[in-house]
Amino acid sequence: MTDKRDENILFFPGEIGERALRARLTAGEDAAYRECYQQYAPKLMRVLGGILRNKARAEELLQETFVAAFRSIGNFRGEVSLGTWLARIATNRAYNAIRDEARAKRTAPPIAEDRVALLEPNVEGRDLARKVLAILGQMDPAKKLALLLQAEGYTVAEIAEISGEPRGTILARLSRSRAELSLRMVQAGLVTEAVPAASMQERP
Amino acid sequence: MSECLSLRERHFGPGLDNPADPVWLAHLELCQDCRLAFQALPHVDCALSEIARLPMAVPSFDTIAGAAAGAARSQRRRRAVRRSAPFFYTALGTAALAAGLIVAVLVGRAHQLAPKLLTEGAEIQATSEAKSAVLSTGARIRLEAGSLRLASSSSEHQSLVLSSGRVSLEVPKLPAGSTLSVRTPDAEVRVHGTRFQVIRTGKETQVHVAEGLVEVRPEGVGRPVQMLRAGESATVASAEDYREGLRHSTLAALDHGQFGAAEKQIGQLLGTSPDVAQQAEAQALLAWSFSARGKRSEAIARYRQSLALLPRSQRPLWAENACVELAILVQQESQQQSTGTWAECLGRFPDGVHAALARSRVHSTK
Repeated sequence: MTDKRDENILFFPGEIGERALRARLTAGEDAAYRECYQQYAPKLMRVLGGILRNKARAEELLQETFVAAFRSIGNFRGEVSLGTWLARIATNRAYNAIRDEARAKRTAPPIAEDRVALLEPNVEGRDLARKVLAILGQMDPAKKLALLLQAEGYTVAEIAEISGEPRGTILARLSRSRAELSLRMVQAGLVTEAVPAASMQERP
Repeated sequence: MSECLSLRERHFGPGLDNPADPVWLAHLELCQDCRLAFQALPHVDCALSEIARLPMAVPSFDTIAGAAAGAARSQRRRRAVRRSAPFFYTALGTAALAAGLIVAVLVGRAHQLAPKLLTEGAEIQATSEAKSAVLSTGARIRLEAGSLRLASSSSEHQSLVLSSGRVSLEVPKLPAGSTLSVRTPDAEVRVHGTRFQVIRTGKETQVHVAEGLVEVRPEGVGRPVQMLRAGESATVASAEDYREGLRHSTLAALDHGQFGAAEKQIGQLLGTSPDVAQQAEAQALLAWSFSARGKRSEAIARYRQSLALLPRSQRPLWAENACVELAILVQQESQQQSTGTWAECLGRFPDGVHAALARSRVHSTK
C-alpha cells in the first residue's frame, strides 16, 4: 500500500493513523504524546522559525504550543486534522508574541537581542532556502504565513482553517504572494539562469 | 496595475496552469514584471520545497515530558471518572429500586388494591404516579415511569415493549416452553419466572434481577447474550454506542495492520443495522483492508459499493479518499478504464483536496 502513495494524496492510513493517535492521546497513553511531538514538531518548528526568524523564540513557542495542545486535547473534537489544529495554535502564539514584542519596543528602549540567524547551523548546502527565507522575512506577515504553510504541504483548505479566513481569500493571497516572491527572487538575482540576461538589463 | 493583480491571481496560484489564456499571453508581452515573475515561478516552487526540506533541530521531547505526563494523567483521570459514573448511578439506582420495591409492597398491602389486567395491545402510562397491572399469566407489573405496551400475548409467549421509562416485574414460575419478554430499543429481556426491573434511559437499558434467572439479548448481530442471576445487573449500551465502539476498534485494528480482526469487526458493525452513510464507510474500510492485503478486485468491488451507497449530497473526506483509492486501483488494472473513474472523482468532489490530482489524471489517461 505504501509504495502506491502519491505525495499529494491523503490516504486512509493517514486519517486513520491520526484518529488512532487522537484516541490514544485522549486515553492518556504516555507514548502517544511523544509520538505526536515527534511527528508534528519538525514541521511546526519550520513554520515558527519562518515567522519569527529567531531560533530560541521559535523553540520556546514550539514547546508552549505542544504543552497547551496536550492540556486541551480532551476538548479537541476533530473538526479539523490534528496537524491543522496544532498549526493554528502555533501560528496564533507566534503572532501574539510578535505583537507583544512590538508593543514592548514602543514603550522601552531597544535592547540588544541575542538574535541568531535561524537555522544557521543546519543550512549548509541550503543556500537558496536560506536566502528565500530572508526574502520572506521582508514580506507582509499574512503572505509569509501562507507561503510557509504551503511549503509545508498544507492544502488551501487547511491554510484557511489555520488562518481563520475564507478559502477564496487564501487562494487569492497565495497567488499574489507567489507572484511577489517570484519577482523578489528575480530582483535578488536568485533566478538569473532562467531569465534571459537581456530581459534583466531592460529593467529600469 | 490592477490588471496585473487580477491576472496574477488567476495564473500564479498553486496548481494553476493555463498558459493558453490569450489575455494573459498578451499581458505578458506588455508587462515586464509579470513576464519575469511568471518565468521565475518554477523557482518559487523549488525554493519552497527546499524550505520544507531544511533539516530542523527540534528541541527534545524530554523538555516537555513533564508537562506531557501531567496532561496524560489528567486525561486518564477524566476517562476514569467518565467510566465509573455509570457504575455509581447503577448502584444508586439499585438501592433506590430496592427501597422503591419495599415501599411499593407496603403500600400495596396497606391499600389492598387489585391491579388492572393488561390485555394484548393495551398500554399503560406512568405520568404523575406509578401504575400497576397484571398479565393473564399472573405476572405482576409496576410501571414507575414512561409507558409500557403488551405487544403480543399468547399461551407460549407474552411480549411487553418499554420504549422509555422504568418497570419492575414479578413473574411467577411459567409453564414449560412459555416465556415472557420485555423489549427495549437496545435489548430483549427474557424470563421464565422471576422478579426483575428494566430501565430504559435515553441511551441504554439497565436490567436488575431480584429473583430467578433473566436472559438479556442485546440488539445487533454478534453481541453476547447475558444470563443474570438474582442480585446481578447489566447495562446494555445502545446500538449506536455499540456501533461507534466497533468503528473505533476497527480503525485501530487497521492502523495496526490487523486486517483479519478489522474485517471481522466490520462484519459485526454491518450486522447492527447501521444507516446508509455508516454502511458506506464500513464498506470503504473493508475495501481498504482488502487493498492492503493485495485483493485488488475485491477492494475495487467494495469501493464501488461504498460510493454507490453514499448519497451524492454527502461528501466526507473518507469518501473522497475512497474515490481516489478506487481510481488508483482501477488504473493499475487498466489505464483506459481509469479515465472514467478519475472523471467520476472530479465530478463528485470538484472542490475536494484531490481535485487537482484527479484533473491531471483525467488528462493524462485520456
